[in-house]
Amino acid sequence: MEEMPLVLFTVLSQMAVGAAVTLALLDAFGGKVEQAAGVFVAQGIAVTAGISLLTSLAHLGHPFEAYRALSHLANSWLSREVALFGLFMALTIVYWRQWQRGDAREKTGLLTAAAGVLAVAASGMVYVLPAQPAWNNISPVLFFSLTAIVLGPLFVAVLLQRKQQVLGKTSFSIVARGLLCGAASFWLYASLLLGQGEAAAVIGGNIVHSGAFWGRLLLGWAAPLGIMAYAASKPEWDIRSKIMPLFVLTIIGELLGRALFYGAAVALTVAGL
Amino acid sequence: MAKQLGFLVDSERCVGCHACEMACKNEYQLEPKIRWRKVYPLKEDSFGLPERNFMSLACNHCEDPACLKACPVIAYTKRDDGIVMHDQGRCIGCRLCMLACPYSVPQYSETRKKVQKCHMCAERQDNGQKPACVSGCPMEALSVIDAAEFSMAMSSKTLPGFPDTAATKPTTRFIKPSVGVQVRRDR
Amino acid sequence: MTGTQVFRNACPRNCYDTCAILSTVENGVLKKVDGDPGSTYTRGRLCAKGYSYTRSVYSPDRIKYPMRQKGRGTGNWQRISWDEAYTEIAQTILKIKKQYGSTLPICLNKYSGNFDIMHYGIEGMLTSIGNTTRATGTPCWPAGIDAQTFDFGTIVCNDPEDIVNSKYLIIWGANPAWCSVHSMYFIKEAQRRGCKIVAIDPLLSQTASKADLYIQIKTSTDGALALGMARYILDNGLYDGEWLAKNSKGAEEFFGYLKNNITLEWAAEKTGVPQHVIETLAREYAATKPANIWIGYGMQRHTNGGQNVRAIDALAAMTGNIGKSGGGAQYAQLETWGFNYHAMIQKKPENSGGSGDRAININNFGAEVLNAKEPPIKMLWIACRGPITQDPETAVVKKAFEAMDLVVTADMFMNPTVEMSDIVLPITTTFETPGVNVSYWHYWMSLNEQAIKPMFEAKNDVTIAMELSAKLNQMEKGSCTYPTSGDLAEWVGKEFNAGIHKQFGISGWQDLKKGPAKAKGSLVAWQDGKFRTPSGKYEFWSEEARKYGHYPLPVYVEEMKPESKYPLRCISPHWKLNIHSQFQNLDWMDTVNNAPCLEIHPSLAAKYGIRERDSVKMFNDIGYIVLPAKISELVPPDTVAVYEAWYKGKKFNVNYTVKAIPADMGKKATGSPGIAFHDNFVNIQKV
Repeated sequence: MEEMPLVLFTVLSQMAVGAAVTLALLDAFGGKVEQAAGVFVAQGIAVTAGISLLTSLAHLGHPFEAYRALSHLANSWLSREVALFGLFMALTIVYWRQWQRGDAREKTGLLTAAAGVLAVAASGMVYVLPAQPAWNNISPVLFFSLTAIVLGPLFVAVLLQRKQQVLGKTSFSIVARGLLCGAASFWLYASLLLGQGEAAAVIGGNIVHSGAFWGRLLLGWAAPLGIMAYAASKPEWDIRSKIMPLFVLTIIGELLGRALFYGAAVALTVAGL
Repeated sequence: MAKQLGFLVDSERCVGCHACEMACKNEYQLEPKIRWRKVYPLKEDSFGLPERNFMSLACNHCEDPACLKACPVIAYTKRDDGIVMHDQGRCIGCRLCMLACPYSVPQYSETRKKVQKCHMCAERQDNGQKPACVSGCPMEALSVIDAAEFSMAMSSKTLPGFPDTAATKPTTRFIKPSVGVQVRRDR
Repeated sequence: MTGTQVFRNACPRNCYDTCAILSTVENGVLKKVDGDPGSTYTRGRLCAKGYSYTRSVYSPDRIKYPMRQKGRGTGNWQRISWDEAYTEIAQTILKIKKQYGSTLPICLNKYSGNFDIMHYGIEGMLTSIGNTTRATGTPCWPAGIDAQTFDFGTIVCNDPEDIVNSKYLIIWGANPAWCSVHSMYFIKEAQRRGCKIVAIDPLLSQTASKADLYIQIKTSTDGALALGMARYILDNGLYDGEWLAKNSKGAEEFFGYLKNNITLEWAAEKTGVPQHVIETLAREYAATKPANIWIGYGMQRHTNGGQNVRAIDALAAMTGNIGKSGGGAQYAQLETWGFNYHAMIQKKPENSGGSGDRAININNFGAEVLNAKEPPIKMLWIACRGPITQDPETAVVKKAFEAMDLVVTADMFMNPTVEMSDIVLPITTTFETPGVNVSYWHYWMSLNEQAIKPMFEAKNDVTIAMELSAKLNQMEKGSCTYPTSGDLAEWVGKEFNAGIHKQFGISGWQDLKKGPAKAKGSLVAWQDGKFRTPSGKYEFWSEEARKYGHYPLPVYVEEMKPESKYPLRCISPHWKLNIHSQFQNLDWMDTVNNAPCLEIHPSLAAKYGIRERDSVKMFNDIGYIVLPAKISELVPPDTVAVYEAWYKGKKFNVNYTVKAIPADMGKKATGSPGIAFHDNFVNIQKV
């Protein structure tokens, strides 16, 4: 699939941002995060950010000239995304180093989170284009943000688990809310498309008729929500054995959803051809 | 007002022969799959006639080009005369302009790994010549106008199937095809 | 060759427009082509096909060197040298001569792939080896040629640039928007000057959609429409009695026929055109001066095609529109073709056996090759022709190829005809060799200069003739009279004579290096009233026609009707991005359009449960094709349309379903009747 680099880049980078926000908030306002665990998570965030940057270069015809993409901050959301994501990446490394050295890191963490949030917003804005009726609204920003909200805490949970720490129930409830929000907003979005004329209806049709959509629905929303509901229904909340399946299902769902985002969109074309 | 050079497409004269497309490819010896100019059939019921009416489109050299704004490397510039130019040297092949253009104008070359598009034969025009498509059309259905000053009575800013012009303000203008009398056996 | 040079070239294709081309060559490479503004017909513009020429010259598919196939149709090709090719060919020729006592078993099929004057050297080559069999006639336009020969004495048309002077123009069964786009410019100009454009066509062609009035006629009933109009013109006294008295023979008999046999009710019923439309058309045509008719070649590809042309000619004659600027009945002209045919005219070798060339019908090629006896046909030379793609009854043509000892094809690409050959000889494009060209429509002559060196090992057909002659004489002295050497540019000069010089107002062929030349004078057909018929007049009543087994008058001959099993008509007209088997295979064309389709009316499609892009099998008793449906009102409900073309790598060929049904006329002027291509009856089925 042609857009694989962009699917990977956007999902991974959003996961990194969501994880950075999670770690920064936990560290500043939540419970104690142990040193070793914190370093591991911060490292995971920085590495993920780095990998996602490399995959984004694979999308370019001339990746070695990518530095020029910073040239057009005045008008181009892509320039702004490159700048902000670059800033985020740099801060994740600083944050990681501070965790390692045991320095005061709360402010850096919040700065990193803020940079990441702006980067996600910018990357969504790249796609808000009159030429793309399906994207010419707040949906790219919303869906990209939701990816960060659901994958970030799950990724942190996976990493913490490797250091024998468990993420709190609050975080999971945020993930659950994110998933519900994602599902609901996507249904609303698809139904709005189907209700419009012509190009929009075609897009809507493409989406709801595709295998990727139903895969995404089951694996990325229904299954994780089901698992969490099941865990919540137990008298004793014990999520430990379910963290990995939750993460794997959700990230598959997000990747499918992102592939759908890039693939199903039908641009305004001349003569509707 | 600043000059805004654009194409006047006379779909009344156009017979959809594709000479303009080929004249352009011939002038620049373009790769087989790349078409800087394309002849699109108008939808069958647009003018009460089946597929025998066309609009020939190259770049619309928009007043507010979406490609120019989206490009992260400032590969697009708009000349004083309105022609929107793409600089091959600066392009990194990110293809965002392809998503941003409502008219599917920029095309990606797999061999060069960069985008390219019609530049209204700027160097020919600077030399006093017409664009290759204009010079090549056997029906003389294409011409260059200054959209900023153009106000022909029977012209239009759009034809059925031409994407909404509000966003980028294309400079292409059209003359609508007319419909003759048809004595048909199925009517 | 370094630096940039511009050369003059002449498009040698089978096309009305025969453009004058300017070729830009940089460091020996053809960079681009342009139309020559020096011709007021070309007007500095080519067409989509012309502009794609660099992709023909530099196509990666071009055959680079002679090749030999081990087993026809196997695709098992091996490169051979020219010497090896000539050796095998010469050996076969001499073997045949020995075995059969003559070279009559050798058959040439050559036609319109390249109309450049020098290419008649191919016929010359065959003459120079002895008496041979020739595919005689033309698949294209002979019914109309005979018709105009009976009526006028021969085909002559007005200079098409004169169209701008018409005030009424009927384009009858022709599609200049696709097939003569430069004429379309003049038609538009006439329209701009107040001319009413009427298009009569069974299909809603591109030209028809640009007309002021489009009349969708029932296919093959054009004669009935013309006669209906003639009856109206007669009844209302709108004919030019003076002109008729002075210039025609048989007007009285024609009028008698109209009075006794033709009514407007009948014409309306037969043609499917409402009576009031016929009456209005007749009145407008007769009353507007000058009024012009363009008779298309598509229109005469029917069993009654020639007769229909005669009826239309009669309309022009009875209204006094013949011999007038802006008037006439335009079909074609060969007035500008008075060359020496130096490359063609050769002597037969002594003791070559047989008493003369044998003619077989080019329009029934497959069957006549198979049926030839005493002697049979054993070898084919195919040049400037693609019988496997272009002939009717493809399956029979293939059988004929299979029955040969040797098939040699001179061509550029691995098209289906080459695929069924034993040896293919790569030939030059028009840019790689000198030549000269004129048109069968306009009155310009263009020089063709050699712009670039021949690509790979390609050779001009005349060079092939010379070298084959050398090889033959090496093996058997005197077996071939073709000159074994010659400068091609000089040979171009040898085609010219005093008549051509005078006609075009040049002092010599070198003048054409400065630009194309237009014939001076005689640009309005029959303006001098000197018809070339036996009577010297326009002949409504033609004894010549009667001699050839036709009615002497332009009466209506019933059109071919479908049988119940195959109720639908399939019309297979020319396509806009090709000329027969040329151009559609090029990569630039492929990007614009890369698949054929079956055009089918919505009501017909509904009857057969066919939807847009469904796969449809179109078949009759001799063959079938399968292609996607395109639902469109461009065709009437009882007819489907398939545009004939060779698509590279696709198994598509509509001619599998086309029978070699002869058109009514063509034998007199061209030696064989034409083909009723558009009297193809089929059925369809969703698959």
